[in-house]
Amino acid sequence: MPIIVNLDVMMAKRKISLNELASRIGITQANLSILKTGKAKAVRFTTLDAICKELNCQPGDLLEWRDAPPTLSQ
Amino acid sequence: MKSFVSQHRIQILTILSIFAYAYFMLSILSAEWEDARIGYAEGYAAASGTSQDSPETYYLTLKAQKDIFNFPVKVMNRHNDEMISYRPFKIKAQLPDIEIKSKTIKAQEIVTTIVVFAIFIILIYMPFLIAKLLKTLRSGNFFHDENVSNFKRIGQLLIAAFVMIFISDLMYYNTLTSLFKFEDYTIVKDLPNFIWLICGLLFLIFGEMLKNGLALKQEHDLTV
Repeated sequence: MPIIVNLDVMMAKRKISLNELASRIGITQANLSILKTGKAKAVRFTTLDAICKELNCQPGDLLEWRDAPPTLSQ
Repeated sequence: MKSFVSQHRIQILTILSIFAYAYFMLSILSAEWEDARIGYAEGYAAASGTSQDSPETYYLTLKAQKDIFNFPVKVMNRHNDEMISYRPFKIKAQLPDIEIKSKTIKAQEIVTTIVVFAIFIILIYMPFLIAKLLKTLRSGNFFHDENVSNFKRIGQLLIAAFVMIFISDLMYYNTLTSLFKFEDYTIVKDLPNFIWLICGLLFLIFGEMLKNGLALKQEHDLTV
């Protein structure tokens, strides 16, 4: 997927674990893990707002767009 | 609370559908029971050598061609003990077997028997599919890959049963018209019950709807 989630990078910078961040922003660890591993299909603004508030960062620090690599068929 | 109410409603509907299907199967079996009983009795008599007639009989519906004035069939009305005339518009008749010389007709009879057997297998297999479906519904796990395939499979089987019933009725009608021809009656061609086709299509439609719902649910589950 072209959207890359750099949540693990920001969490390392802020020295906060997945469990702690999940409990602070009020979502389950499983859901946060889905976001961190890049399996999420969508992110709610409320969730993004909560993460940015907690990690003191901008949405652009968490989300990055990269062009998808060409497939074998192309 | 809302999901609990919905699950409770699904459980009630699944129990009602089990009873409805059981009633449907019993009504089919009871309609055929008399034919099966006669067939068994005649077959037993023929096998034991106590009957000279062939165990085969033909069941058909006859429609009267003449009007009531030329066809005065009388019967006693026991409420007032008066004889009344009636026109036997459509009557179900049981006719004895006659020797089939045509190979085509014999082949048709064999194919009809095979098709009827296949329909019977479908009717026996259907409750197992429905039971699998109801099991997942009762657990509350409605959006499941297995449910989508079960709905589609049930729909396909119902449509296949309709097609087979149509073919067997057509072949049986062809056999009857080849063997029998009456002056005052025409043999009625029985149409298959379209409820099979309608239910089959509804199951397929619902399977597609469930597939879309499953995709939406999966996307929702992966929305953080």
